[in-house]
Amino acid sequence: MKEAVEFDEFVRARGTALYRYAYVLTGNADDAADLVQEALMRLGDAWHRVERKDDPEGYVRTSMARLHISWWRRRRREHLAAAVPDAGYTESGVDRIDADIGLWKELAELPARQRAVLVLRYYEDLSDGEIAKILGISTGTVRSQASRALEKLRIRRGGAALEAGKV
Amino acid sequence: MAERTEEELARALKAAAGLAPEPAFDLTQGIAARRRRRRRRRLQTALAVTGVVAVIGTGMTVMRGTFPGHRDGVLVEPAASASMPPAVPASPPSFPPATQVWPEAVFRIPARAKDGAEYRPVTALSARQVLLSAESPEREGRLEVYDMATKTISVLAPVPHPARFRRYTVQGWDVDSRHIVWYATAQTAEGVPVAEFWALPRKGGAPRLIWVLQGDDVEKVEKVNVAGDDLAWSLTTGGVFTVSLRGDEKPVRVPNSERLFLQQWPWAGDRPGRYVDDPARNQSIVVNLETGESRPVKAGDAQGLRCGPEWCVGERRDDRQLMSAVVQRVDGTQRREVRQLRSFPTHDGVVDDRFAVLTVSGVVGWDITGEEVEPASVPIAVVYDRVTGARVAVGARTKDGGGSFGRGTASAPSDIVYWNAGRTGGREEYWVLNLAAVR
Repeated sequence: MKEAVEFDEFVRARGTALYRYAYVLTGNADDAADLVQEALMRLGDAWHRVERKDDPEGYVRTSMARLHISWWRRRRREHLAAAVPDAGYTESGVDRIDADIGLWKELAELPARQRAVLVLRYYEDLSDGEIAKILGISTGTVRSQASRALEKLRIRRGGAALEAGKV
Repeated sequence: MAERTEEELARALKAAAGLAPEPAFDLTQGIAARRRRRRRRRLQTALAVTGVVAVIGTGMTVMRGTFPGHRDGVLVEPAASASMPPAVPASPPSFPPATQVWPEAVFRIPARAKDGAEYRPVTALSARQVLLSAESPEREGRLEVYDMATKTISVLAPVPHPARFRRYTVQGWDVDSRHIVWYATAQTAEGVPVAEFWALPRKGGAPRLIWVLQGDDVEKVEKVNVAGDDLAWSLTTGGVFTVSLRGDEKPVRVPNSERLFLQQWPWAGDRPGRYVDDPARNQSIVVNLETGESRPVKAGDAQGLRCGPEWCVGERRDDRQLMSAVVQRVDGTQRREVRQLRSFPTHDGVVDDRFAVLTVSGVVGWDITGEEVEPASVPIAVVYDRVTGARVAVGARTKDGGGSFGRGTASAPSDIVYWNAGRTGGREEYWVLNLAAVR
């Protein structure tokens, strides 16, 4: 009983921030709601273990990133998209930021994993090593995914280009 | 269009988060409703397995982005009797497990070495021996060999981790009869990315650093192969490079390889096996980088074909509009359609001209929330044996309907599939399937 209360308190305290994170990850309100609820439900199932050992926020954020990129989920969505006409969501809030709207729309075109890498790097401010751990991929893959995504979005990268050679 | 900066991206993401539409639901209630639906789904799944319930019919209103706040808090019920032609098989496919079909090729290893290093299987050295890499973050690793006959693990060689680098990660391996090669990515103390290429005699000994790559190509290295007396690698943007295993020469780009990706030296194709943006596109040629021989791929109606010198694997949409895996020769002959299975979006092609690691179309219908119903009895992956036609379950399923399995970390199509085996005597173990040991 105590656990249920603690979990509910966590959801109340952190729910909005987590929903916003889900929104940045998925790019739309419907999927964000879906994602945050699924991840929180799983956190609730594991609350006893997680709350004792780790930080619940880290656990749920990791599970959101993983859920978002798992490819079978995307395939599931493709199935659904064929069966269900999309309700057509208007991004009224985001429309207001004129300068960024182009970039926001182009982000929607990225594959889920590339988008997740960018969100973890530029929204969560995580290092490539931390991102690799969260997504369960190698740091090399994190970098290659990030560099492909940045290329697509025509984002210039910091740091000097180097010639091949021995260190 | 003008280039943007990383700061603009960070700002756009933070701005979007701040302006996210207000959620039209109560999160606590939403989670509770979701938990109830999950219980129902499990019930339906159990029924579907026994064949009592086939597929939910047309009367159903499918909800997307499922939370009750959007539908006045009421779950939408399916019509009881209406039915439409199932878009998916009405009964879940079933496949025998590898432990049962290929007991000679399956064994258990601890998930960690005694010093806590994590094991990652690399590939088969033979029908009897499997190469393992023992890895710890920021520490020297080891190459070890598991012997299936004696059930013992022995150390082959250290895997150096030069102290001047940070984030040192071994990314890919290859083995031939004389050498083992690998590459690792890292950063210098100043944060400059580098890739190191290493080689080791197959019998063990001291690893030798062959080349250190810097610059833009570091992040693009996708595969490493032994190429006779050379080491070869290819880039995610195309291009194959070789450097002498003696370590005394500069690397050279293989002529006419600009648009090619290593499959397994000397063979390359015009589609990468991993990091694929457009998984449905077919490979169109297989090229021998030593002789220049080029074999066109006859894809027919297949998509996502990935081919070695002889065999390809991909998938096609069949007459029932279902995707099925296909295995065929490069010239399009001897095609086998493998129903109820699909190819993974990124894959390495056919292993040993014989096996394909495939995923299962195990969906038996949709529940009232629009979630796919997929029985937990359906395996996470299946190995198809082209020679015998066997379809064999691999991978571990979790109680919540998820699951996982791993492939050997070799750059060439690995003989190894492995998955969690749970705990024995308090330690975690993996099941390992060595396809080279299948009779």
